[in-house]
Amino acid sequence: MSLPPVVALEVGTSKVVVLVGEMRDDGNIMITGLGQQPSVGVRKGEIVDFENAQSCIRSAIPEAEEQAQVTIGQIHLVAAGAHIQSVINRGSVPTRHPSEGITDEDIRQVMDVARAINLPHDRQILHSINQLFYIDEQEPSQNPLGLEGARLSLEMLLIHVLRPRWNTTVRAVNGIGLDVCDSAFGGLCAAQAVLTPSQKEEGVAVVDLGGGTTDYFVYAGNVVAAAGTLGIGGDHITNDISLALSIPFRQAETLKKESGSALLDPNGDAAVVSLPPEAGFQGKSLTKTTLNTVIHARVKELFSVLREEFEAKGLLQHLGAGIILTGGGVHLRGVISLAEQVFSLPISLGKPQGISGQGSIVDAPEYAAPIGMIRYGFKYLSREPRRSVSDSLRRLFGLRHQG
Amino acid sequence: MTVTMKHEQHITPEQICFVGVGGAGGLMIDTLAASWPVGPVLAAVNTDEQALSRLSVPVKIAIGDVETHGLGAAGDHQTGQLAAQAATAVFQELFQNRKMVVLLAGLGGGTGSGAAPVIADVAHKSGALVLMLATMPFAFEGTAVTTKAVQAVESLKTKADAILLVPNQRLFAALGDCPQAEAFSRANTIIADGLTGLSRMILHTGFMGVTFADLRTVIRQSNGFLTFAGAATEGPDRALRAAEAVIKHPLMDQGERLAKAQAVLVSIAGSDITFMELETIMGQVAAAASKETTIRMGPAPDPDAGGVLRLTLLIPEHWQTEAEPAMTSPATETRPAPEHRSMPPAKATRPKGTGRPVQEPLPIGGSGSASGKGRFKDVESTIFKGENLDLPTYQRRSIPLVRR
Repeated sequence: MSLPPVVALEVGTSKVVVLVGEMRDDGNIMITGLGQQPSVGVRKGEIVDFENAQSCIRSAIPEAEEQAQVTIGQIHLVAAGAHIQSVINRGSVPTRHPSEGITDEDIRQVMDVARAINLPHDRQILHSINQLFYIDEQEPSQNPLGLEGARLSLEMLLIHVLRPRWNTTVRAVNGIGLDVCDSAFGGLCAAQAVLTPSQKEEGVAVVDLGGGTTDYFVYAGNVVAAAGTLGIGGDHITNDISLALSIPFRQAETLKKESGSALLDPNGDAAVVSLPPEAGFQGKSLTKTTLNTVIHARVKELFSVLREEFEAKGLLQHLGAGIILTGGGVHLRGVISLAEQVFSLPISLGKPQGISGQGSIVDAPEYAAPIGMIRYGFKYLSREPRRSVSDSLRRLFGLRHQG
Repeated sequence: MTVTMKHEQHITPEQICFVGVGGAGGLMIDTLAASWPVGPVLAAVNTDEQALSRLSVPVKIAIGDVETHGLGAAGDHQTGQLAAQAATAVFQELFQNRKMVVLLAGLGGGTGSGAAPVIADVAHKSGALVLMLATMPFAFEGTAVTTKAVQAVESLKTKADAILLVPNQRLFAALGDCPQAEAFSRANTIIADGLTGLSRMILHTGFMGVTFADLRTVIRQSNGFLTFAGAATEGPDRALRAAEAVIKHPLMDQGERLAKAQAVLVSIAGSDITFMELETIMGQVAAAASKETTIRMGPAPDPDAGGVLRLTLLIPEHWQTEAEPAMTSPATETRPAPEHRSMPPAKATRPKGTGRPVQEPLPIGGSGSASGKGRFKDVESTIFKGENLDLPTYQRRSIPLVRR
């Protein structure tokens, strides 16, 4: 038995990534190809310039095809965008045979009820994830099969997207002759890539620091407790620098990458950074303190907003394994220390688990989401008959929780 | 989408003052005066006495006798500025006991660009809510004119509570086929209609009307920039036609403004408005807006309207948000209501970006604007607890930056 390769496509705010993964006989996933293009026309994970974004995807595909020696006809699409939201919905059904134990049919029914939430008409559910079952409103259980009770309830985490915006990305992909085989929320993908079973048990939040958005996906006691996206990313840091110093966005990006830090030296850092003049730009010199003040303010705010979200959801005390950072944003100097200061939790860098291939890919935190997408893809490919393409986008599929 | 209805504070017509500044402002106020002879105080200010004499506005204020000998500022905004500064006492008197001052000017010339910021400052110091309606020059008028207009907006930003910015490009887009003279007169009518509606919105508070307090809230949440549209209809289907007219209004940019609006204030004024009509209008507006838009409506029964239904939309905009210090951000705005404020006003309560405002060209006409500008203009703003997180953090937090 040999599964076909899974191709993950992420149309990110800063880059378009195509990753090809193959399932090896030992059950590990091997990354065999990477195609990558800087993104044009993507803001906060959403396509705002259709043609340019599409041509970025178009040029990233052959790179990956060549490296992996495959022909790509269908992809697994990482879902991104500040419009992605989640809600917890509770469903409840009477069990069919209270004295004979809960059956698969009861579970299927309660899942249907929990999933049937009344969302605005332009919203579409991307994931419905079982949290905890309750039998006769008693102690929660993760697997009620066979247990006795008259009433079965389920809390479900529903991750939903704004259909028009999501469709734009799908259309861009379809428009260059690629089928979307399946898709998953970027935060979920990153969690799929980097988390270990013990971390999920202890409680952990994966925070993916992207170019346009910051995605989070939180486990508490082995249950997916929260998921969401904040429309703030690396772009905002660069934009702040650009406005603070009156320099073009591109120079601000260079400055951030080469000299920026999220930490402020308490004594000030008078070291001077210079941007050389070039066509259309007069050059600029500034102290590191000025630069880092701007960066620090933005990143601290980003973490503080996340902390507030976690706090409001009562998650902070459940994060025994702390916070795992992924995404391109982790390359910013001082980002881990600043996160530690804001969250007062252990913070670590995400490293994809059980993946082999080029070290520069599998060890890089910015590929966590596409790598996780591949793992997610294989999980469903190996379990279920292949879905028809359009069907997979319309159907509401359940991600059964696994420890 | 949330629809809220409120009922509180009141304002009388005499507490509102409309002032047309400069040539273009004068013509706008003249159109307003013709369609609306009674109510708020209407005044025209100009350095050009001849231009003033042609207007039928009740109050005419000629400024700059010394500087211009009554002959106009000839496009020099410094002349306009000096002339207005010399007449400060006149404006102080004009603005005494006003709760709201609406200034109208075409920016890019001498008097409007130079005098309007000075007059706005006097109005602000007198304790009034200051609304500035400014038309922005056409792209074809050249860089010098555009630059002057942008500079005027920069200085107005610190003086007016909100700026209704009307790019001529947008205003005239729908009037492209008209002969020039007619296009100008129709453009003035569009503005006058909008302002009339706006005033009625505030004055004729209905049983669940939009109040002055609501307006202030919308203005303060606007980051300083607003856009508006008004329409008046009568006869059968007046509600549907009014709704269609405002949604297709030239200043709504083919419905774009409404579709992207975070909030919209809807005023429906007229005689015998039925619930069916309210429903029609609100349905149309809600359909054209997005799900996240907060829609606040105010039906204002106006028995004297004689069958005319007047529909006005006011939408806070995020023009040029990135370059904009969080001047009127609701999170930090602590300026007390004007009537409770002692003179001189505490300027310090208007938080300003400590950094020098970064000046970049306005997205006039929506095209050809500089890159880097409007990085997030095409996507929904990231709002957290009422704060627009797309704006630079250091600006919102007023974190001082040491610049070399």
